[in-house]
Amino acid sequence: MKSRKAIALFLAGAMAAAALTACGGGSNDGQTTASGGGEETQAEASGGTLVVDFWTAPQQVQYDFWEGKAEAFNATGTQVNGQTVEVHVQQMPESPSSEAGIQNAIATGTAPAVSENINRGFAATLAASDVVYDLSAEDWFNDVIEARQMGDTMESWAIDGKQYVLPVYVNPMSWQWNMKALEVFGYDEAPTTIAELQDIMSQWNDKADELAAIGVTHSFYRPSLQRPDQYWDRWYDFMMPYDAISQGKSIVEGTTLTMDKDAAVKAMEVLGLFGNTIQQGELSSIWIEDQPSVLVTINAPWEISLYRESNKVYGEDYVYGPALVENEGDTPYCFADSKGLTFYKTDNISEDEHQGAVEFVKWVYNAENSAQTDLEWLNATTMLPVRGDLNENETFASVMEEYPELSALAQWVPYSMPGLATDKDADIWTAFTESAMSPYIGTVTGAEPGNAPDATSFVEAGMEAMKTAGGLS
Amino acid sequence: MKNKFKLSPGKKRGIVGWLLNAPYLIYSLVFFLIPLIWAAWLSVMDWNLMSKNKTFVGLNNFKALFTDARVQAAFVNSFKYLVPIVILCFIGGLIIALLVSKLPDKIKGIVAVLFFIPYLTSGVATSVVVKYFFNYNSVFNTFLREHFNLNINWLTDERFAFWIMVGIVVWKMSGYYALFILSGIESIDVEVNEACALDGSKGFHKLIHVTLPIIMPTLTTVIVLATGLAFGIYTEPYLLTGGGPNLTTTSWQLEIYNTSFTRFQSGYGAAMAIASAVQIFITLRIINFVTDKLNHKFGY
Repeated sequence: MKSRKAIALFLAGAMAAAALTACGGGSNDGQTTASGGGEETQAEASGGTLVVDFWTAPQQVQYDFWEGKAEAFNATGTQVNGQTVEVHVQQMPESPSSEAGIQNAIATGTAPAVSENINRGFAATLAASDVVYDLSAEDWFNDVIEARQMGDTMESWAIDGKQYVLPVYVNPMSWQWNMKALEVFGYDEAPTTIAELQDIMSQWNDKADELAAIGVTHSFYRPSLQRPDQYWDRWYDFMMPYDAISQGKSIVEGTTLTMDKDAAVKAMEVLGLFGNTIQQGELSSIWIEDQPSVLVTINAPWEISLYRESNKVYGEDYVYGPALVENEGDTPYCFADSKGLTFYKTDNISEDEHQGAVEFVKWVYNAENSAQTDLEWLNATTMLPVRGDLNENETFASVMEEYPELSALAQWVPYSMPGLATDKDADIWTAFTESAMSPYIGTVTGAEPGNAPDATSFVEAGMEAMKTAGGLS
Repeated sequence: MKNKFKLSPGKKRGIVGWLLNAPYLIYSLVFFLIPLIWAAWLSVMDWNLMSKNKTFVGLNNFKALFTDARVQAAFVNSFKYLVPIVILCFIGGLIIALLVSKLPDKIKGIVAVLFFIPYLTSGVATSVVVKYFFNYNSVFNTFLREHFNLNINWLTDERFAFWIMVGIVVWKMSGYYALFILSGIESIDVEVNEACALDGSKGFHKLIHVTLPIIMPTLTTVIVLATGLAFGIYTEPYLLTGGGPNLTTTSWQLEIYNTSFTRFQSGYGAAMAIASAVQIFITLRIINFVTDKLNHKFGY
């Protein structure tokens, strides 16, 4: 009887201990850094190694790239306050989004010293929360800007006059045209002006049979135009034409809605030109089909490798075209799908760790290494590094020659503008979609191609909704 | 010398009882009670979980719920999901269970497991398959266009999107609930079946007047579980519709997620979570009340 009681007690104790252990932090495998303010870092405890955590995007290719860089940097034996910096790389958790993963890490005191994969909108949220470093006054940061010739680009990255992100890559969002369909309309290169799109769409009904013969049934593929939950798609399908038509005018500055209403109306009416030929049904693998069924989509440069594997030839099967401008010669400003590095300023990150992270990034992007780093990035990801000399720097010449599609995109890098610097980005674009884009597209789908319905009232309603959702004046 | 710390047998049993319950109590404390208290605190704050500044806003987050179209849609949709999901899961589970119960013992287990497989399939995998199935260029849609001239954007059309969500959940869960009902049917005494045969009760008559009343406690469990399921829908709308079109497929879980982790309004998200918990609690109490009456009627 006694032994049975003892066993029962032992089991109860063991289960309680197991439950409590499960509640504790992650196991200490000797790799983690300090957590919580004032704790002694492992670096200090182990007498000379300063562990710096670096989080990459969840994609394997980006992890492999940064892991390689960290290994090379660790081999240099760089020191901070007498400690050898050792960068540990891991993929950021998508729980379920990478932003939510970072939010969780900051809330639980497990944020890394530095991470990539931060866009301007989320950077604004982090900056408003005072958990990231302002880099604008750092000499090393300005040296990197100079080495990568990013001066023009950085102006559009500023948040309240400060810089919180070192941009790593940029996908200048542009139009991706079906070359064979363009030829039906008599075009042997991508349109550049709204007038040319008007000309094409005005011919649509007359050319329907010829288009059908090459498998083209719809003009513009965009299944999310009426989906407020996919608010981020407005960065691509609205901001891209808006940036070009407005010639780079901002949409939000501080707490003020600065959107140019006329340009916004014209941007909406660019989409309106597609009329009832917009394809809103979901398609899979559109550009690797034998006969792509649409005239144009918004580009997805991260799929370039896939196109090549599917024997799609740039210039024959598809071609990238700039954001459409009103007048020939206007600058084709466009939306920059761009992300970069951010340094976290939280209690669990010591000053030494921060300095170690800075040393790593400095080494990766210093004047001596930056071109090689960016070349390796380009080869690994086919996403353009943020630098102003992609088509001029000899380092990239062979890649640009091999990939004319990247060369085409590279010419728009200097005109690419990142998203809004506001922590209400999601609310603003959700509201805009609900009040402007979705109802307007509802009207457009009843219109003939080439006859865009007037978008003025929709834009006015959208702007009011944006003000309310974003707390803007 | 008499040991003054000697405990009476009753007290000893009490202590052992507490010790044996301790793991569960500690588990509940750590994983339910503390988070609940924390959520209650968070719900009266304006905080994004990241900022060092946390602003106390009292009941403002709760007041804002009443004018939030998304919250209203989540509230209404919970009941819209509840009714068809509970009814269809119940009917589907019952039909599967009745069919399987008639099979020879040798294959009964295997067939029951086959119906159980959808439950084991991840919601993500199911959603991806459904998405491909309803693609514009899928075989199904191509067939509809070519033979019936029907061009339907299933997942963006208010008439269909909601029912696709319901269909996925019912397909996934019916086999699971069938196992409960099957175990209830299998537990009915042979004598009962023999008595039915002697009295001439069979088929639908036997189902209504004998089988279902006998397995009423099992059916109650199925109904309560299906109710909980209807309130927990997330993966399917998250991956397929994002809650649209026009919020017709949104759910509490989806709105709580978007509010807390996309718009980073974690305090408001916590208030939404508490509101949803209240709705679930009241609904379950009503359902329990009704099923208790039914159970009582049938002698349980």
